[in-house]
Amino acid sequence: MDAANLGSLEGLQDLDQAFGRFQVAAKACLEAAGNRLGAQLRQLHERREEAQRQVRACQRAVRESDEETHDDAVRSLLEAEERLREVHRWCRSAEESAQSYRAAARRFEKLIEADLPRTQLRLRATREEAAAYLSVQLDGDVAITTGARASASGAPAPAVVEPVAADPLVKFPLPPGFRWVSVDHITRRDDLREDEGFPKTSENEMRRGFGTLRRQVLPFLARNPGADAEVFRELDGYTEDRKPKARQKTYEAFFGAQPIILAGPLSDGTFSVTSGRHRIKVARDMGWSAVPARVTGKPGGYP
Amino acid sequence: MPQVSANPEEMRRFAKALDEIAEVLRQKRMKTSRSFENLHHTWRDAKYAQFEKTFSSTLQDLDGFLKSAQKYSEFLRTKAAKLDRYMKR
Repeated sequence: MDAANLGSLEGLQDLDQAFGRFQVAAKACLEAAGNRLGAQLRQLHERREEAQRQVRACQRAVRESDEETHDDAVRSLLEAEERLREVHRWCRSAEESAQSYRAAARRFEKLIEADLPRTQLRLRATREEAAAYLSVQLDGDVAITTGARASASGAPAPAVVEPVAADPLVKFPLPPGFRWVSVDHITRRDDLREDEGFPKTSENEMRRGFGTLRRQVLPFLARNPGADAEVFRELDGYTEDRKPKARQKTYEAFFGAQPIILAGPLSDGTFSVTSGRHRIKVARDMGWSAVPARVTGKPGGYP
Repeated sequence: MPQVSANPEEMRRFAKALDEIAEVLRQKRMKTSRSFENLHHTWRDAKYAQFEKTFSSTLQDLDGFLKSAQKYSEFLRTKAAKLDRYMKR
């Protein structure tokens, strides 16, 4: 065997539990069969004793018979003796069968008392080895990919920092040209200053936009890859949404003409913000681990 | 549902290939670093500082890859050893 091939770890556990249940059921079955066999043998023995009593009664009747009743008494005796022989044959046959069954039952009992627990132990050890194999993990920092990646044209593509994989948000696929970027990998040097407000779109409206993005736009994009602003415009029109253009506006805000644009990475591995400082602030405030962004080349890079 | 479907020998073979390529890269990186230090003797204009920054960043990326490659290799060998134990059961 060169390779391991185990379909399911839970399958081994299920098998272990099934062996346990089988052991209990098999013991109960053996006990019931043994009791039933004993009862049947006892019945046969009782019948043999009854047949013997009848023979003795017939023998007595023959001894006490006179000329008139002698022949009938002898006939009854012969019949009783034949029944007794018949019962003897049955008893012998039954005892032979019982002996053979008991030998098989002892082997089976050994199997469920000794072999089965041994198999279960081995199964558990196998499961533990498989679990140990599965539990070996790469260190978290290795999963972070840094460095330039070559694009199809051969020109270096911008570096990508993968967002926090544990956040289900980042499992949503994005339109071509966009990727999730962890907010921890966006430089804080481009944060909004305290005196800067939200001149174009209010902070509350932006927050609502993030909500629409998460609850409606991203799930729809996941189900319908390739959907564009036009599709969302139609979608808004089909529903009785009080804000008929909420989804279209959200789509355009994140994936339209003015998306979040990041550049980098910088020498410390973070990205600078070319566009979207307000959206990034709102994302941070709302606890988003990553934002969808377009990533361009290195700012101030060579040449 | 956790599954096990892997070949420990193939894992070790890939780990070895990874070690070899990492070793070659490590040597080339050292050689390139030395050459880069010499470059400054003949390139002294403003573009050099800009280039140095970019080049250093690239070297850091390469170091990151070498570090990752070592971890991948250790990871694969540990997995393969565990797999051996599982298969001997």
